[in-house]
Order: sequence, then structure tokens, then C-alpha cells
Amino acid sequence: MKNALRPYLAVIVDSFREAFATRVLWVVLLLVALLLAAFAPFTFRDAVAVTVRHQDFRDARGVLLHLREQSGKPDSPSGYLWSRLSGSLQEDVGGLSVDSDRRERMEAFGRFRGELNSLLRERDFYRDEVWQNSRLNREGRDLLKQGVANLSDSDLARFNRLALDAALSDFLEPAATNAVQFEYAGYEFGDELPVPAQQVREIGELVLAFVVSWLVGFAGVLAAIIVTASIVPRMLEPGSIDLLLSKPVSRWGLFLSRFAGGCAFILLVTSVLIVGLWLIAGARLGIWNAGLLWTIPVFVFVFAVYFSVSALAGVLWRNPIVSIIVSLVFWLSCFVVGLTKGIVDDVFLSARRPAVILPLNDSLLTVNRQGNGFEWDPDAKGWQTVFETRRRPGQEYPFVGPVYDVANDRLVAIRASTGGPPWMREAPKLALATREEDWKFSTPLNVPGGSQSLLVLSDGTVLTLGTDGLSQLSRKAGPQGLLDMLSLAVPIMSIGDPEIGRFERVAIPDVQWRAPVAAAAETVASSQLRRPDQAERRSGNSEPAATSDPTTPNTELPEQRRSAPRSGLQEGDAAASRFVVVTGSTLAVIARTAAGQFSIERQVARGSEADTVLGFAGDRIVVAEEGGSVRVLNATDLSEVATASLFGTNDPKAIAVSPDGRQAAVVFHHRRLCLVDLPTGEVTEPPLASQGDISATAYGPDGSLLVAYGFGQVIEYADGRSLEIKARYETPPDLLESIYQWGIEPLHRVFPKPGEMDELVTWLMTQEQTIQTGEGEGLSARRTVINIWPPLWSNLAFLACVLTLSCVLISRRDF
Amino acid sequence: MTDQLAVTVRDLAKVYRGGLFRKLVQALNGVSLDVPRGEIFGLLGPNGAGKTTLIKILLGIVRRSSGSASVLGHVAGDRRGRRSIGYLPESHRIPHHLTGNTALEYYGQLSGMPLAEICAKRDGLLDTVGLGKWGRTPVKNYSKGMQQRLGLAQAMLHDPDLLILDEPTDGVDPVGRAEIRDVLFQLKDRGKTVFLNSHLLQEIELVCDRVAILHAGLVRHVGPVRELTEATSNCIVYEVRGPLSDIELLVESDATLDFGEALHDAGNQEAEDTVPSDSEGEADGESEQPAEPEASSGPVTVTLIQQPHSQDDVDAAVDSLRELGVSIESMSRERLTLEQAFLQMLKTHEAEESDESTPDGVDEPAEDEA
Repeated sequence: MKNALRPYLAVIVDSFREAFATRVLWVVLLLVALLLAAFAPFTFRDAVAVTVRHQDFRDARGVLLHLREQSGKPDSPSGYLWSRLSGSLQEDVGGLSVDSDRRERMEAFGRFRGELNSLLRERDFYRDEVWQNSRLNREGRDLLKQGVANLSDSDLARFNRLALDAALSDFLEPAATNAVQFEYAGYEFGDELPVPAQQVREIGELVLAFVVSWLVGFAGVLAAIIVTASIVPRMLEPGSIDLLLSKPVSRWGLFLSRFAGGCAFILLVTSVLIVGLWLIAGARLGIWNAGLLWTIPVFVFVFAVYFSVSALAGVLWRNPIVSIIVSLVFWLSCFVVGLTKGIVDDVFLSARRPAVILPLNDSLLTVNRQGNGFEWDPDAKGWQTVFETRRRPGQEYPFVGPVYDVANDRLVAIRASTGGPPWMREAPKLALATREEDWKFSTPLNVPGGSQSLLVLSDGTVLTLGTDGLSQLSRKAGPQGLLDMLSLAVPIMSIGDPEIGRFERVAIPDVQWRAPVAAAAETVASSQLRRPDQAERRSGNSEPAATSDPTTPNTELPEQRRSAPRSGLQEGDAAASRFVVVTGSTLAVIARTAAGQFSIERQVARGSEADTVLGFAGDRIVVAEEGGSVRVLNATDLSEVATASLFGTNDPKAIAVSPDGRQAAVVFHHRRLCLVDLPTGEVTEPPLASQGDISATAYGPDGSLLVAYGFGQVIEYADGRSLEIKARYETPPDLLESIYQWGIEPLHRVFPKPGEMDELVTWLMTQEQTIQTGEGEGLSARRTVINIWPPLWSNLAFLACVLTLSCVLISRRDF
Repeated sequence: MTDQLAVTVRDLAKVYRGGLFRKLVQALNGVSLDVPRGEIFGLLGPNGAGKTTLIKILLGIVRRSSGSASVLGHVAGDRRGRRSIGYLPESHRIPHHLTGNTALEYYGQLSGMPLAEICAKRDGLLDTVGLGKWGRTPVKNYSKGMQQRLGLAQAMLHDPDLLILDEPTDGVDPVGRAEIRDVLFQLKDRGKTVFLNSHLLQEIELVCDRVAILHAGLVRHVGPVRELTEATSNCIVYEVRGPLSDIELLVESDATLDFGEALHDAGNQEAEDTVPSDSEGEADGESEQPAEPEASSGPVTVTLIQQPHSQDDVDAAVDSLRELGVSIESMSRERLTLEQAFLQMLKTHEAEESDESTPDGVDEPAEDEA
């Protein structure tokens, strides 16, 4: 065996010999060394957070006006600060008013910030008498004890910042405890960054992954193609090939050995580069990432795919220039195919994917990612647009919700603001849409700052939940605060609306609200259908009504839903409504008492702080976590009934719970759906045709399971068990969708995707299977699913095909 | 049986398609020949005759269109046969990054030799081909002749039973050519077979046992060199001395007789020349310029060439000459050089072909030498 391989090994060795002799190797290694030398001096060290940044201000507009107001009190900290500002700035701020041009305000603010930052470096900034009533934190007090005059420059700056924080605590976020300072070759690089070193490392890893993807995966591969283009043509030159072919070696063996030689050469160079980067990242930045080393075979593989095309061209035309051109054309076409798919999908089509299904008793609504709402028109057999929303660029879904409020027959949602840079945005608003208005959304009032989740209880109570806490929409409206008017940032207290009410904070004893935050209202099964004359419209009240007839199509009223008797809830206990929340690592069931107060019914430590989505049905709670696990808990004692990770580490997106409380459906970001049998906790993947393309799910009032897939199609199954198709709400695809489904996507699947191996690189380095690409909190935000296997397989298949073709051609050819 | 034969070719034909829309080129038209082991065999032919194509088919570099060929008992192109073949291509190009030593390593390993064996044999072999001091020099610094020698060395390295050499002395100086000839004789002494391709007819003459002439894809003649030269030449060369006019009369009357070319040229020049000079160096004996022909008086020495159809013609010519009183100073059968024979044969065949209507003319029967 070894004898048989000897000639082929000789060819590979000769490739290296050739590379060494022709100086190509040396030039490339030199370039690599230069590159590494350019990176090496970059590092960071721990530092203290001093610099006041734009984002540190909670209320940019307000602070200037506040200082101006306080200008008459030079002994108060604010007044003192005002007095330390330059005269020209004082004048300009003096000229500002509520109606001032935004740009003027921003410019004044920028100057203010600059002056503040220089003040922080001054030794005479701190005055005992000014700060005597302000409370410095412990670190500040310790520094003060040392004596301001004795502090080093950096400690002084830190101390001044802490003092400033104490002075402007209403307007200024306190400085971070940890910061890092970047350095290059000993020189400081920008201001210090107030993030802890560990976080810098994590970000650094992502940056490194990006750099490696682009530098090596793109530029490097391109360079490699050019450098290796002549390998195969040179072997096939008339004078050399005759001699080679006369030897007792197979032609395709010669060819493959030559190919392997080229790959081996690139392997050597890539290894030097990557190992060098790895050592630099580790020694200089403290980032030791073994995944980085795994990128070496990935890049060699990507190179091999391109090189196989170059080699085929070499066999056909025996010309290095032609080989380069062919390879570049090939790369370009892969790129174009990938780009086209990306653009058509992300820019045009993904917005059409459904986000929420709202099966009302007599109509079916969907809302797509764009934020447009559609209602199914059974006569026209199509979707009619009901409302449209303008989305911010980069914003993946402009709503939280919508949720159907049964009690008031309306849709409730939180609509995020629609434009501008982060500090100029409007606050998110409560959005309501009623049937009478044909489901058009109106936004009467702001929601409390930081609201991430929306709950609508069975009696119509609207609750929002965020890291700042729980708020309830109550009937009272309140006076507008001056601060509200002046404030640019998200207001703490919302302005009320006379008709709708206003949001009030709900204090729940013993609850600490921390990220991550999630909530779900209890879904109640329909066992009764309420008739209009028996409807009780008072919020918070519900009573048993006549027997149900869930399939009567003529019923115009929404059902009144009510929980079946279960533990903790009695028939007639109409005022109680429950919901489950996750806050930090705690999971709690919160109930509302008859008096309208909320209190924790029970809680448990969850053992993790991953983002979650929740579902709550009677005596079961479904918890689907980032990382892919689906847990079913017993609602009575919060003990775990079962847990499963059916889809590996793919993240869940949303949960729907069936009205009878016996099943839940969980949609994942990689567009697959699983069904959870709630009594047992068993998780299964139903063999639906749309698996792989499912965007949203919901249960109809009669227990049917609705699945939204594609670009806005919905299928209704009779129930989640038999999976008989009950109805299809589908419109034929339009031209763009057809082109995408029949042309672009198949082409993309078949085409090798060497350029998309960067996703593999990211996965190798970060083990993340989805990356948050859009804004938004928690699991509902848009993610790009990193699918590492399809590109790998298609590239491998392509490589095998091209090499086989080359071998066949070279075997049959006359030389 | 065939084990005795190093190379067997039967009705080998090869058609090339010049391009997708170009017409077909018939490179080999039905070639048959045998090369026994231990022989140095030469292949002659003008450019485009198909010599290189034949060699490439034997080596499997080119696929045959029809017919059969076998080398060392294996089908031509079979890898097992190639193990015992050493090949030196025409205008070969050894990659310039190699030195003499590393080139031998590379090609030796391709032939399946272990590195240790190569290194043991390498120096001796380089000496043999006259590159003893140049092992470490990069090939790009080699002259053409040195590259040829290196090519020959790599062909011999793995001790093959058959060497196929395409223009082995191309670009080599006369001294080197002699050295290479010696190497070939040594190989023959060791029982190796050599299949040579050359334009240098003198080389073929000196080295080859048998030669085949390939022309327009067909073998025109196969046989020992001597047979070739002797076969195409049945001329008798006379050197006679006598009165020119008598000789001229005889030449005119006898169809088989003709003046040697030297006389004709000298005759034309005599009108201007006053000084006799030995200008033309013809191999067929010196020709004495006759003095200015003063009618018929002085005897002259002339060269006459006769192409007799039979011995009777020869006898008749001799008798006629003696009757005229012309002395026959020497008489010998003309030996053509291989080149002359070759060119003459080509002329003959071209004439044959233009006479005949079909291009697949009757070729000289290939003569099997058992």
C-alpha cells in the first residue's frame, strides 16, 4: 500500500518544493507575518469609567434646563455646575426653550458634555461645601478620605465622576464599576469603555469571528485562488505531462495529488495565520478560543471548493489566467446567488412572514413581520389588508402582541416607536384596535418605559411588564407632568387618556424585577358560550353562561372564556385572574385577589437566567427557554413534569396553548413546530408539510390548531392530535414569491455556498446557533438561524462532483 | 512468442479531431511493426509522419482509434507495462525548481522507486550521462544538452527493460552525442531494448539495428539499416577514363547509363573556368574535371552511374566500354547514405501516391524478422 502511494506523495512533496523555490511561499508568509505584526500591539487593560457619554444621560434635554433653573443657587451642586460652565455655553443654553430646534439642542448638549468631561480632570472641581448634602457612594467616600489633592490623575477623574453622579443622580446614569481602555503599541486608543473586561472579551470574540471570516474567508481565499491558479496548468504543459503520464501512475491520481498539494500549501499558510491570530488574541486580549483553531479546516475547505473549479478550468484550458478568471466568475455567481436570496428574503419577503395569528370566533386575522394586519375574506378567498404599519429600518417587528382582548372585543398591542436615533425616539405606545373601527390601530397613550411583555387578562385588564416592573392600565387619567413635557427619554409615568385610562405601577411585594422578563396570562378553556343578553360588561366579572356551541358561524359575539374548575380556582370565583411571570431566575404565578391586588401565589427558582417564552393553561405551565429546552411544570406546585430539547439548541420563539389546556404548540426560530402534551409533558414534532417554514401558531376558540407558514399562508387543523386539515387560508404566491420559491431558493440550495461558511465560523467560535440580528428584547426578536449543515453538505457535494468531472476529463483526454 | 518482442503493433490507426468543427486528421493509417527484445530500433520519418503519435499510443498518453499495440507483453497504456518503460519525450521540460538530484528523486519516486534506492544509484547515473558535477545545480541553469542528458538519466533510473527515446540527442554537441551512443550500446549489452526516434539520420545509422520509416501514417519500410540503404540502391558506379565523345555516345545510347552528377556540374562550369578545382565533395568518388573538350582528343576521367535492371545490363555496359577503349578504373555498387535512401524513398512514395487514385496506397510489406 505504501508503495502504491509513493508516487502520489512525491507529487505532493513536489508541490511544496515548488512553492518554496518559486518564492511564492516566502512572499505569502511574509505578508502573513506583517498582518500579525499589525494586530499584535493591540490590547486592553482594566480602567476606571470616567468619561460621561451620551448614553449615560437619562434625560438629555431635561438636564440642561434643570441646570439653567438652578443657576441662581450656586451652592447647590446643580447651580455650582452651571457656574463652572463656560460663558458662551451658558448663553446658548439660556436661549433654549421647549420649542427650540432639535439641532440647536443637540449641539448645545454636545458642548455641555465636552465641558463636563474636561471639568472631570480638574483638581479643583470638587468643593466640599457644594457636595456636603449629596451622598457619595462608598468608592467615592474612600477616595475622598485619601484627600483630593493626593489622588493620582486617574483616581481624581474617577472621583470627580462619582461626585458628578451624586450631583446629577436624577439625570445621569451612574458610572460603571468596570471599564477597559484599549491600547495600541502603548498608546491609548479612544476613551475608556465602561464595560467589564469579560464583556469586552465576549464582544472581542465576535469581532474576531467577523475579522477572521472576512480577512481569511474572503480576502485570503481570493488571494489563495490567484496564487494557486497555475498549479494544474503547469502540470499539464506539453513538455511535462508526457513524462508524467508515462510513469506507472493513474492520471486521476496525479491530478488529485496535485490538487492535494495545492490544498496542503494553503493549509500551511492558513495555519500560520490562524495560529498567529489565536496566540495574539490570547496573549494580548485574553481571548483563548479553541474554536478559532477549528476555522483552519473550514477555510481550507472553502479554498478547496474554489480551487476545484480552478483545477477543472486548468484541465480544460491549461492556462493559469483562464483558471483565475473562471474561479472569479464562479465566486461571483455564488455571491450573486447568495446575495439575491438574501436581499429578496430579508428585504422583500421576510417582512411578509406572519408573526401573529389571531383566530377570533368569526374572523381570522394575521399580522406579519412588517406589522401589517390582514383579515381573511371567505368570499374573496384572500387576505384583505386591515392595517399597515411603518417599520423602522432594522426593526424586525414593530409590536408586542397583538393580543385579543375577549372582554372588550379589541386587539391590544404595544407599538414601538418608528423612527430616529435612539435618544430621540418616541416612547412605545399602547395600541388598540376595535372591530367597529375595522381593526385599525389607534395609539392613545404611552406605555411605561421598558415594557417588554403585554398581558390581557380574561376580564380585559391590560398589564405590561418590563425590567422596571409591572404596570396596569387603570381607569383614571392624571395631569400631565412638566417633566413629561420636557422629557425626551422614555417617561417613567405615562400620560393618561381620559377614555382609556392610564398606566400605574403595580407593586407586588417580594418581587424583584430583573432581566430576563417574560409573562403569560392563563388561558381559559371554553366550556360556556356567553350570549349577548347575558353578557356582563363590567371588567373583572365573569359568570357561567349557557352551554357552548362553538361552531355556530353566525355568532357575532366573542366568546366569554372561563376556566374549568381547577385547583386554586372555584366556579364563581370570577374576579380572580392569574398569570405566570419569569423575572431573572425566578418563576412565579401571580394572582389577582378579589380586591384587585396582585400577589404571588407561588414561586420557584428556575435554575437559569435564560430568556424564555411562557404558556399557562390551568394546571400546566410551559416554559421554553433560549437554548432549546421545553419544560412543563405543574401549576399547583411548580414542580417539573417533564423537560425535552427536541430541536437541539435551536431557540424557541413563541408558545400557544390550546383552549382545553391539554396541548401547547411551540414555534422555534428555525421555523419548526413541536407539540407538547400538557398532562404528560411529552414533546413531539408533528409531521406537517410546512415544517421548516412555520412562523407562527395559535389555537382557535374551538380547539383547532392554526399554523402560519410561508409568506402569509395559514392552515387550520381540526385539532392538535388528529392533524386533519380543516381549512386552508392560502392565496397563490405573487410573482416575487414564485420566483423566490421556484427559482432563487432551489438555486441557492444547490449552489455551493463557500461564502456562507462564515456562519460556520461564527458557530465554531461562539457556539451560538442563532444570532440576534434585529432589535427587540427576548426571544421574540428576530434571529438569524445559523444553519451550519446545509452549506457544508452542498459544498462537499459540489467539490466531489467537480473533482470527479476533472478526473474523468483528464483520464479520457489525449495529451 | 510475444515475450520475445518488446513492442508489437498491428494495424494501428489514430484519428485526431482538430477541433469541434475542424476536419479529422489521420495521424496513423494502419501501422504494423515488431521490435524484438535486446534491439536498438529506430523510427524515421518526416514531420507529421506520426512518429510521436505512435510513441504516445505505446505509452498510453494518447488513445488509439483502432488496431492493437502491446508493450512488454501488456496492452499499450497498461500501467504494468509502464513500470518497465523509461521515456524521454521530445522537447521535454523538467520543472525548473528541481535540481539534477531532486529531479531524479521526483521521477524515480513516480516510477515507484524508494528514495533510498534512488539516492544510491543517483550519482553513478549522473556520471554515466556526463552530469556528474551538476547534481546540485538547478535545472534552470542547465543548457539544452544538459537537460537532454538529465532526461536520459531519469529514463534509465528505474532500470527499465524498454527505453523509448524521442530525439535523445537533440541539442547535444557531437561529443555528447557520442557519449550517448555509448550509453545506448551499454544498455543493449545489458539486454535492454531501445526504441529511438530521431531526425538525425547519421545517429540512427550509427546506433540502430533496425529502422522503420514512417511516412504519412504508414510504415514504408522496416528492416536492418544496411538492407535499407542497399535495397534502395542498386546503382553501379563506374569510374572510367577515355575520350569524352565516345563516352557521351555510349551514355546516350544506353538507357541505363548516366553521367554522375559531378560531371554535369563540372561540364557546365568548364565554359567559364580555366582553373580546374575540386569543388563538389561528392561521396561517390572524386571526379576529375576534364580539360577543355577539344573535340574528342584527350582522355577524361568521368563517373558514370548505371541503374541496371539485371546483370545482363551490367555485362553489356562493360562490354561496350571496353569496345570503345574506355578504361574502367573502378567499379562498385553505390552505397547511399541513409539520408539519400530516405529522401529517395520518400520521393518514390510520393510519386506513387500521386499516380494512384486512392490515398491508401500499397505500402511496402512489413517484413517480420523472427
